Amino acid sequence: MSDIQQRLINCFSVVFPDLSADEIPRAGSASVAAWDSLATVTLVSVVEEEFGVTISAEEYESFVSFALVRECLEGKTAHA
Amino acid sequence: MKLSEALKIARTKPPAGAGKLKVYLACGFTPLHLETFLAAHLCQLSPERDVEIQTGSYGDLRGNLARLGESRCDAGAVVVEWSDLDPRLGLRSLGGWGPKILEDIETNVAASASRLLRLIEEAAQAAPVALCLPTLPLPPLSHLPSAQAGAHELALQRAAQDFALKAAAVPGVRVTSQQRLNESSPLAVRLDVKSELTTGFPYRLEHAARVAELLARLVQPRPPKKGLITDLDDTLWRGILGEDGVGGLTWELDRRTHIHALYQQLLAALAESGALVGVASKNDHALALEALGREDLLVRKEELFPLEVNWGQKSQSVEKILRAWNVSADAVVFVDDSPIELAEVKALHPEMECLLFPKDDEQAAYQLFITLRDLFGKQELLEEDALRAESLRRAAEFESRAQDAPSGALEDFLAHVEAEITFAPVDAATEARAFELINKTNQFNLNGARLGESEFRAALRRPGAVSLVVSYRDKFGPLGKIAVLLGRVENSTVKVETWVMSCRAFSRHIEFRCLEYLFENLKVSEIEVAYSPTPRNGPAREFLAQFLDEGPDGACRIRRKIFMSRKPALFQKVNSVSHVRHPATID
Repeated sequence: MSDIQQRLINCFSVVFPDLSADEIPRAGSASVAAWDSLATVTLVSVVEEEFGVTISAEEYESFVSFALVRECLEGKTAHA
Repeated sequence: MKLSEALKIARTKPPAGAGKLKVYLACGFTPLHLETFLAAHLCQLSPERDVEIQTGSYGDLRGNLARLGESRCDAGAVVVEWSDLDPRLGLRSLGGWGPKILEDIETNVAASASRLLRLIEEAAQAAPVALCLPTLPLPPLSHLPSAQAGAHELALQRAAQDFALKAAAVPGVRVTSQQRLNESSPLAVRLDVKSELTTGFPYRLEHAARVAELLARLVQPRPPKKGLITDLDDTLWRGILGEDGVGGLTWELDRRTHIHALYQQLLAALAESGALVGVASKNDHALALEALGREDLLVRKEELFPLEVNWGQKSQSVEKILRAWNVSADAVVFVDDSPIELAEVKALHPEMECLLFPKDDEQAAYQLFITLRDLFGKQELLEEDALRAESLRRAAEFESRAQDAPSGALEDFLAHVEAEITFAPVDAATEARAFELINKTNQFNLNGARLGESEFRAALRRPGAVSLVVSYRDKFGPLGKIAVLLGRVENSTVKVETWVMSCRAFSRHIEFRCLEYLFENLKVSEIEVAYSPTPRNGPAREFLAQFLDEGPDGACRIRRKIFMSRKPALFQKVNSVSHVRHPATID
């Protein structure tokens, strides 16, 4: 498991404590009831804190599934 | 504290049966992470409570303050930002930044501050309020270069300061320290523009964590430490008494040992504020007394009690001081320049705060002074604070005379100490001391329950409420207000729910007189006592056991007939200021 994957799972588990580690990689706003706008904002802040990156307002749109968040982060770290 | 950490802490389940701690967070912006950090800090400060944060509506600070007053929460945490004083001072309003509107903003800020202050005053009547006034930088309003402060900027800063000054004078309102916030959260890294524009939450995470920490510490202030035990050589003064002699000890600017003078000055200030200051030193006793008698010492010898100066182990000296003070190790700070001595004391008393005096690092020593001020910080200085050290000295004399009395002659001794007890209700003159006693007394404490300010006030306002504040003096001097009892009358029973007595007042039969006073004045046939064992309240248990056939293991009833037949002879003269039932409940 990549470092980004594991750290992102940790972020998700903080924001969505009811999700198991197995469920997190498949998680999305459509399937997780607790994933509302407040959770999105919290997730963005936790991810920014964990990875030391800034998520722009446009990039908020990718915060609708674990896979897209991971993709967004990989793009950012690849350009870092 | 990181946000991820705060989220975990805030979600930690409290222990089963934990009492609620409800706090209303009133602000004009989206509370978002501030709410999380506040909950986390309160959980850390009160792990035994089930913390619940209530919040209000976005952009409606005035409405939220009104809701706080009606919320029946235990406390309020109020955060006022510039945009609450005038929306044009926030980033989400487009009212203009031109020079023509600056005067109008000034006028509006002053008017808003007055309105908010009135609402805060009203809210503070229902529950204590922790208040944080504008922490964010002002937007770029001024035409001046940024290095220059303009009249309008200064006027706005003054308006905020005036607001803080007036709010701090309101009973029940505690204002966060801007200086402390500045130390931990630099102004330049407080505002999160993106967050403010996208979510309406204007703080960067680090700043939110700091603001929340200060608010939590005002909502749930930790009990101040009661005593400080200091070493002498290379701590209270620079030099080794046995080698340098009394005259060779220094604490002067010229000798570059001024940091020790500042330490002495701090100890004198702590003693004046009611902290106990004792000495534990490996030295010759007579020589140390001579050194402590030097007229240029900034802390008076009389302010240091007791002096445990000998060649024995430091931990043994500390143990003797704890016994003389009759306080537990977790209420005491030990300061020494020797890491070995600190480790030895810490090994015997792990709960004690053991702090290094960094004799060769002035900056670190100054930080130690700030830490000590914080550890001993208290909301209010009371009459008893000035009495405490002297009263302990007298108590030690009292105990020594009482122990010297021949076997069975304690009553005879007590008969001749000219004791006087004064009973008064909890009222404006006594409530601060009563609240302090309830929340710091461990040994003679019925059940160890601590009361928040709102619980304390509610207990006094209930129908049938009974409150008693007990003051004591004898020929050895006054002890001040040393006991508090809260309860209520139901039919022919008094139910005592809170009863604490300072350990300085033990051995004087004051507790017997308290119960006798209740039986006599309230004309009841029994007193129900909400006893519950704690690790430390053995003295309360021993007292109650005298009037019971077994136990107590929990709440118990003391019958008048049994009490009267078993109580010892009481010799204190009794003064009663007024009836013990709370004025609000008297028919």
